[in-house]
Amino acid sequence: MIVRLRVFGVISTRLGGAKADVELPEGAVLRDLLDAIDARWGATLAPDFWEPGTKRFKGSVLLVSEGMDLMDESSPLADEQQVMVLMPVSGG
Amino acid sequence: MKGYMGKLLRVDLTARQSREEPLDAEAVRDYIGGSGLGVRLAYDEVLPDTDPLGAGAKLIFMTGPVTGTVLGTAGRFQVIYKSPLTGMLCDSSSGGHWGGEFKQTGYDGLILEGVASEPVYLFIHDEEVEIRPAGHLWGMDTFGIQPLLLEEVGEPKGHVLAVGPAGERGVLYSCMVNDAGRAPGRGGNGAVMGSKNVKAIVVRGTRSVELADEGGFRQEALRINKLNATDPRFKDLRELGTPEVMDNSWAVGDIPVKNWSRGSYEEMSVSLGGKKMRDTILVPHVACHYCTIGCSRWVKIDKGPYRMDGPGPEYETLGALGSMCMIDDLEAVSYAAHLCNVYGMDTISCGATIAFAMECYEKGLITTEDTGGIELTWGNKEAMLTVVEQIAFGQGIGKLLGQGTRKVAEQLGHGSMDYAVQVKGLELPMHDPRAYFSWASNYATGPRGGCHLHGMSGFLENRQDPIPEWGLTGYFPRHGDEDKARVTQLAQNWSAILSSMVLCYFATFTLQPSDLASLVNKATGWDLTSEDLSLIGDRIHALYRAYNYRCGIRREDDRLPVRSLVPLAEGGAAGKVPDLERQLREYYELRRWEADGKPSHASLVELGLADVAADLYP
Repeated sequence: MIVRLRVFGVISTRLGGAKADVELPEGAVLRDLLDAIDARWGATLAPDFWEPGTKRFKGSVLLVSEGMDLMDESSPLADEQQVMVLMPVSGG
Repeated sequence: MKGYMGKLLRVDLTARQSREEPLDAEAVRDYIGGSGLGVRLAYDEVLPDTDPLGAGAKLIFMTGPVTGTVLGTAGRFQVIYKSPLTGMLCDSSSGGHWGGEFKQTGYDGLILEGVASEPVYLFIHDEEVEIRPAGHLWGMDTFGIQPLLLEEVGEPKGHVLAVGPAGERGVLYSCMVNDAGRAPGRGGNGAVMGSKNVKAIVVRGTRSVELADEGGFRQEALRINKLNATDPRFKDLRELGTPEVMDNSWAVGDIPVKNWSRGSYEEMSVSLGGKKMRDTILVPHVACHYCTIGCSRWVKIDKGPYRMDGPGPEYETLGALGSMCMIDDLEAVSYAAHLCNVYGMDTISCGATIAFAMECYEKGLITTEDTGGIELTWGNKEAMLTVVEQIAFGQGIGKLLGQGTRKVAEQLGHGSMDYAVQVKGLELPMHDPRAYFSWASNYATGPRGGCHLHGMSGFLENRQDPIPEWGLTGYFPRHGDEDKARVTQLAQNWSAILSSMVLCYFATFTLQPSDLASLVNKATGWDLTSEDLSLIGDRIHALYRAYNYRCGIRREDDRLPVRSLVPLAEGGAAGKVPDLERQLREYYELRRWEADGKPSHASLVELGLADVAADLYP
């Protein structure tokens, strides 16, 4: 199955673009996606945005899909699911 | 008194006299400076029943112990006053260079009182004060007046703070503007200054600030400047400014659309975003005083109906005058922001009031008869621009809309208060409590009303261990009410310290309280700890609340507008609503406020506010 990442702001420069597809085994969950991100981009995301030990984003980086924050690492993912990766910063 | 000039300047406009007063050393230790000290001065000098636009009102300008140093973001100032928009105490902060220059004139603060019998401007230069006639300047905008005044006083290196036509006419959300486009935007300080017949304050100073540990401070300041220059989280902010928020925050449902009635709207947000601005109208710009974050924008539009050359709109402005009004034309919104700048108006309240008026028009509460034929429909950018002009000059429907959403709703009735999106009269900023739940208690209890700067609580959510030094450890998911009252409380204390040191709120992204304590200590020679700062933040907040309680603010005023608690149908906050009552209940316990909203006697005494306790519990 394919999970389609849509990446915003400074994180996208670390991932080499605003969009990326991640191939995962059928029945994959969020933990599988994080492992895949670690394998592919962990080195370029760390240390600012990635914790290699826990294989999680750090800071205020959010994973959002279908209007929901993905928090639970056992959350199932679906083929063609879009996952947005962003770090909201604000003010003004 | 290291870190301070040690003096306040008091100007009696009625008598056209000025005098110096020593800075109260004990009060400085208790409140640091800036808004904290300003709130103390206001509490002591401005009676709660004072008419904000009357002769008894005062305008208090304050700097802090690090103002004017090489520390980035330390060129700011705070202005403290009773707000004509809310009827409560208000403080507002501005960047640029005016604040640093003012301190170098030899004063830590300025208190304006009374009313001049004719328009005047003040020229303050190296401990000299001149009150000069300003009849020839009355009516000028806040940009055109700058070079003219600098030439008139013969100080090309000076800095000008001025009100525009909106402040002269008493628009309740008018503001002062300094350094061509920087403004203490909120709460109507422009109207207060205009009511005193003061058009401008020009400052030029060459005095230097003596610090307790010059070398140590410089080393620490340069470390922080470097940290801000290299922190990857600031990369987008530096490149795109706060408009970058438009590019991504729609995904989490944080950007209000159509007067807070609609959820995420990607296309509109991106059309108004930082990338679009960069690719079309952005030109090179300069940062505020020594700032290495460099978020400020400058835009130039060479052709078409919206030709302008001026500061670029901030995120809040793009939301208020753009997505709130369903206008996705970046040039039109930039031009509207420019009009607000030159006329001297808060873009948040102005845009929010126009969006509210558009909804009233849609519902038939405002008609073309009221607007003089203007069709105030959603997305009508020409109507929006015309109304901005009318508000600034008190013409047509602008006379009504210049009073802000609460007062307009009071006059229109028919349930319109439900979608007048304000707290205690101050229009909400462009961050949705349905997207980040802590905004709920933060807006409801904000000392100056609905505000994201007096407690940047939403920015502490979804962040691991936001303020560990103050015990705020863990992770606070944005869509949850657990511990959000505590997030709000500490965020408010954190903001109180920043605004008392008079630093930019972006400093919270890279610094911890101990960093701030270190800066204060090296500047002053004190030995404050991180915990001391927390206590001072609590004290400032309690004093602010006590003043507002005396203005009549009670528990029932700590609320959110109905509209902001209606679930959205779409987007990153769809179906989510914070539990405001739970947050408030917990917040009141943390703050130790009584059921009616009054700080408890014991808490006031413990915070060193026994005199305030005596006032509230006679």
